[in-house]
Amino acid sequence: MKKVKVLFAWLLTFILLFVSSFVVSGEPDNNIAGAANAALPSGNMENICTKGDFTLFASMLTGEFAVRNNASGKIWYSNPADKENDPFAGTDKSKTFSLLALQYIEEDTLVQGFITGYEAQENGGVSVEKTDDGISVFYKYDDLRIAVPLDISLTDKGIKASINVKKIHEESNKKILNISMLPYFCAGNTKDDGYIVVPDGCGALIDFNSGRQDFASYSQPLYGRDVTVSGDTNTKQEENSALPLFGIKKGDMGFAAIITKGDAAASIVAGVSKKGSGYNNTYADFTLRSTDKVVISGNSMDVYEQNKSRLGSICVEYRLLSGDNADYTGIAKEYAKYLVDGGVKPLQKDKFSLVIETYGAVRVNRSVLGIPTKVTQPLTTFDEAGEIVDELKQNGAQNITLLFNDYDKSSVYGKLTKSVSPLSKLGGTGDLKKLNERLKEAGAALVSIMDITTYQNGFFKNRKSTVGLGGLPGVSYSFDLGTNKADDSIKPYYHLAPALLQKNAEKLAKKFDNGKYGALGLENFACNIYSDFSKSRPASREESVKLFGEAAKLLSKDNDVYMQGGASWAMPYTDYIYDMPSDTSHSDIESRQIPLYELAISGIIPYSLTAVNRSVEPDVAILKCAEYGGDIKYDFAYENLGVVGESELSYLNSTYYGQWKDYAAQSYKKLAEFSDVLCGEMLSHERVAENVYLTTYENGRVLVNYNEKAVKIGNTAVNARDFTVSREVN
Amino acid sequence: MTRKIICIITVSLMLFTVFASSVSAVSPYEGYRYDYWDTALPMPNGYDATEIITAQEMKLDKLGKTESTVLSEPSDLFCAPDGSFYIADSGNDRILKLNNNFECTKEFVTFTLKNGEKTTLSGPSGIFVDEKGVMYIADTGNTRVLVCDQSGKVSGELQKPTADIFPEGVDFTATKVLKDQRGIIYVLVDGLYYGAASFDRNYQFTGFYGSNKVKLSASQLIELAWRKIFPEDSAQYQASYVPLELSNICIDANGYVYTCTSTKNTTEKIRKLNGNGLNILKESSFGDAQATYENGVSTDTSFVDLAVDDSGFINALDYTRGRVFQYDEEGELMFVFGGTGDQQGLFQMPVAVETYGDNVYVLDKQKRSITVFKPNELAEKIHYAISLYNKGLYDDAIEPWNEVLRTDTGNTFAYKSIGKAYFAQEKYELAMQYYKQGQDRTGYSKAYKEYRTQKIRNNFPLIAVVASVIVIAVFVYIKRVKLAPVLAHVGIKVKTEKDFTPPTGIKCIGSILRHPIDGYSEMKYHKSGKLSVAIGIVAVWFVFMILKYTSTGFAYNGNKPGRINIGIILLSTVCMVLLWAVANWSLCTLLDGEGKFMEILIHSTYALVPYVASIGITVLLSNVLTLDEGAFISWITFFGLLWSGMLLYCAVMTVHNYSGGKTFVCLFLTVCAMVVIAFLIILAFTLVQQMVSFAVTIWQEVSFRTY
Repeated sequence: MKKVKVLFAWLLTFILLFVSSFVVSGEPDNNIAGAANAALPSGNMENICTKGDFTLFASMLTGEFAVRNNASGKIWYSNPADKENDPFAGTDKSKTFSLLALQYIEEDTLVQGFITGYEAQENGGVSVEKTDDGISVFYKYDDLRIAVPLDISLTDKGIKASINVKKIHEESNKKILNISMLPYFCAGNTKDDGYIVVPDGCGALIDFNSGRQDFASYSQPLYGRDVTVSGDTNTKQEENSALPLFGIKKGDMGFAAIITKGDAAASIVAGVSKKGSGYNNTYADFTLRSTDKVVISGNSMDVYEQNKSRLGSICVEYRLLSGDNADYTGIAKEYAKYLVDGGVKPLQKDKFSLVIETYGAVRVNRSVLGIPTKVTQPLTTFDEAGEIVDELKQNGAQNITLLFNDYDKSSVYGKLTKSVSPLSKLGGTGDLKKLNERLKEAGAALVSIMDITTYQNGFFKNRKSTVGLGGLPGVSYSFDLGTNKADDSIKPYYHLAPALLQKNAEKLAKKFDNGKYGALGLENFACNIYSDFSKSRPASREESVKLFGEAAKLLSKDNDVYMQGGASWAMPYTDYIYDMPSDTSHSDIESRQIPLYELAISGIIPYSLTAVNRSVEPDVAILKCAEYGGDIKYDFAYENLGVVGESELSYLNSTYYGQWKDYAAQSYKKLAEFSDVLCGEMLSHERVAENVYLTTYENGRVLVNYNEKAVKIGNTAVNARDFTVSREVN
Repeated sequence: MTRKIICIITVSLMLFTVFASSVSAVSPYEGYRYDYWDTALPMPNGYDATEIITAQEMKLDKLGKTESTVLSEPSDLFCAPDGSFYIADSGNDRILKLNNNFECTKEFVTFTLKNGEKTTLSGPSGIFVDEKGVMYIADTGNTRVLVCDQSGKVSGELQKPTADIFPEGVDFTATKVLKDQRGIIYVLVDGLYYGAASFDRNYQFTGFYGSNKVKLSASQLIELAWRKIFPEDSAQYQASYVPLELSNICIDANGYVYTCTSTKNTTEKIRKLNGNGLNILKESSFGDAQATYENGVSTDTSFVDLAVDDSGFINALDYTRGRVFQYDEEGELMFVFGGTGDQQGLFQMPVAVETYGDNVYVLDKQKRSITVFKPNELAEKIHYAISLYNKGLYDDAIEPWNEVLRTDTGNTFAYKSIGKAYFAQEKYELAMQYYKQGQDRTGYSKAYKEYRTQKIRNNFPLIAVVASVIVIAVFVYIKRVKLAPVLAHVGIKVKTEKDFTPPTGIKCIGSILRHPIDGYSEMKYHKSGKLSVAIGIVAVWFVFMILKYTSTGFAYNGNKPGRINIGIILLSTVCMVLLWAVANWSLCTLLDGEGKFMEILIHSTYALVPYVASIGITVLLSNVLTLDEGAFISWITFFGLLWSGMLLYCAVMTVHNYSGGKTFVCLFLTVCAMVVIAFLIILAFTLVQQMVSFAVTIWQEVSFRTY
């Protein structure tokens, strides 16, 4: 018995020792990480509050803060812990000490300035207060007479940083243009291993310390560049950013940042170390006032939005990730959760589809009996479209979705679309309805595509158009490919004022009821958000998103809506996304592309990638469908116009159906064989070797090899430019 | 000023609509080609930027000795025959050698001269390495060229030649250097306009090679004349006559030397020189077709470097817009890729281009990196098809070209090539169709000739019958009076008695054509010329001019289909006639002319008939004649013009009752008056235009200020 007691006492001692050592062991671990001592963050920080697993610490002097995961002991810093000793400190040094940075303009001289939180700290202009769930930092710049309140609050997933723009004081002639929020949150130093995730197109990675400091930093607005501001000058070829999502992976921790308010006014910025500072960082930069250049009597002049910013408030939610979740899959899936929590209903995808976009007609210059006239040249009649579907079906393709484009009179004539009027040259309303029935019988679906925002012609084109900062219609030009100058031979495109969109949508919704023309496809709708600076019906980008969203809601009430390249704001009203970006803008600083967008949307909204026959390497485009889990898409014209020498027909390049039909059916069959795998949710994605990628779906795994020679990964061999599917999921 | 007016009219008459092209995969740059009319049309990209090599990828930090782990103003890139790369790292005064994975294996900083002394470089900006590994370094800052081996031992030092022909005022600031298969070294020197300074194997200066031709424009000729008259002013004009400075020089596998010039707005920007320094490229225009200006500065293509690959494709680097233009060995444009910007494949300050295998490499001085471009499937297919085509294997090329056309529907080269194959197969109709799409008028005409021969041969009996019927009918018509009794038998009545009433209206044309002076006199006397007929003639002229634009046979028709400008045609027909009449009338009232305005108008218009008819006939003939038979068309046009001119002379003479000499004076003065009137109209037009633009500006300002 005594023995037992002694044994028990020993055991107890052991347990106590063990537990105590466990508690203490947090310290050395963190020391190895090189950032903090003990489980407390470095610097002079107070414990503010705790929620779920997280505890917030903050300096009551500067507002700098740190969040600790109480389970793992990991700490996320708002500013780099070793910033005082940054050997590469340069132009961005003050930013590394700050929670925000402002760009402002002087009203009279139009001189732009830049200031960060650091300057306010130096001059004692920072006051920090505790709030219920975090802190409130108030920045006062006495010399500029600007004051900005920043709220940091703890959530059960991480933290939230927000600014109520309405509460910003601007008393002098200095106006704030941009606000950068938490520019160095969780930034990686030159020794850290990790990457930055940005939502460029399908998504891109920027490796830490990639040595690309000589290149421009990454900076891209969400939801496309504003055509009202830059449509007349911007010749940059780029993909849009469709998700308000960015993040960092740093060692085995990281974060996913979701911009929950003011996303339409935000740009995502990212930079690598040794350019201005020794850190790799990413953040959201919000535009409070737009700037532009206006040419008046040959002189270019800087202009900016002078009124009070129309932005309500801005808010970025940082969800802190660690362990296995801290990678781009985890970042993407965090956004998927956010979408579903926000009320987007996941749509089940049960079949692998072949998506065909056909072009109805085009207006061309022809001479009829020697007299030059513009004629409507049919490309694909409704009957021919039916034939295409039948023929593809005979060749083994199933689940065909036919997107019919350029069939409507107003769209072919370049006018603003308000109703449905199928061209009689293509067969008219009757044939379109017949096509709808025919496709239904064949087990295919018809989608009628409309562009309800852009137009070139029309009597009231100026009145309905957006207005730029210079007071002129906010048109966008086509540019001569050789000279990069606006091409006068092509009429500029006008953009419908967002305030007038609702009325148009109402008219269209009435015409489109009962799905007699199939589902509704919206082209150029969810790709680009633009603002309107008109006096009578102004709309900021944020308001524009709201107005576009309302229009989409209205149209989706009685119709299935297919969106081209759907942006996040449109997702609640989207049944299908076509032309989903599968590429990035290839910014210099980007290391490689990732399917961030696809990972986030897969399992929620079905999608197809851009057309295979538009790619110069169609075989690769097919592999991409397997890797990115998208339906396969082709763009077709039934007629071969032999498009030589006519720039208005050059968009038909590589779309002649006759040359592609066998290829299309075959490529579909190749992928549809694995329909059960490819239709499942995409669970993760990783690069396993140079140009070899592994995608894990719910029901299987796909290994894609883009190399021009066969590779062997583990026990799986993959042929050159091919993929293999295994139906086991580990 | 006329151009301005034409522009306004063009713009106002253009009613083109173009529809939004659909969103496709975005790459940072869009490929394009120039069509027959020099319009840039989009084409799928042939080259993709696959890799970017910065100092980090070069592993400069692993060199150990060196302090500088970054590049500083790298200004030249050279790919040696063994696949290693050399960079002239000007800012760091060194040459870097990279292996074919772009890892730096060696840096050359100090060199040993023959006398054992050490020497260093100063801002080297050109490097060439031969197959034995001997380096030729343009040591720009030290005004010399160093020849040295891989251990840094200098075997030769080229310095400013002492020869008289080398201009004294020019320093030997060597920028680029090249050695050809014969061992001759070519050095480009900053500020030297006589071509490349060439040195023989013993490093002795032998002269200049490959200077650009000097072309004098009209204004320069005037200047030249001025200089003859006032020789003391000559100094200030001298600059305009010096030949263009070469910007770079390279050599291909066959020993041809290529040069490029960065001078803007010039032809022969790229030349392929034979041993005698003569250009053997057929094409003479390179780079972008349209020159534009920004703030008065030309933004035309300016080539700074070129590289020719083993298949003879010429890659030329445009500094202005950061693009690589790839031409085939004949100088025909294949691909354009690259651009300016912050994306992969775009540049800030591209300075050097190289090729190795199929890849193209571009060095950017500001981005301090090398961009690797790889040809994609499409480019590989096109290159393959072209190689077959160049070997004359047109039949074998059909299949690859068809595959190319599936993706690149507008590839004119493909159409041309397939056309050639079908021509060889004697499928002339098909060949014609393909030649037409390939905009190859010569090929089309040849194919048409065979096609026509075939047609005539096959339908000879029918053609013979139709021809004889026509000949007989014409004969009968001419001899109708004599043959009247015979014709009466077959039931055709012929008016045999002469009609003595003077011809009116349209019938006057006949008599004027046959007896111009009598015809016109009669017409004036009887006032039988009709305004309606005159309007009719002008209308026919107008219609024929439109037909000439649209319906001239393809072989003769270089006009862009569907892009006719009715305004210009209206100006050159109707307005011209009115202008003539007004000028002549106002002039002749002063010169005692008897003609009234209406008479002048009607009589002059009648004179146009032969010319108008010649237009109609040539349009018809151009559809059945080949290019070889083009002389017919020229002769008919010439004859029509001559006849009309003669008639016009008679018309003026009779209507004003002038003597022959006075008529000549009158015609000359009328033309002068027309010029004056046209000038006044244009002046007024410009004034109005400026007023309008002024008003628009004010409106813009006001609406902007009140915003």
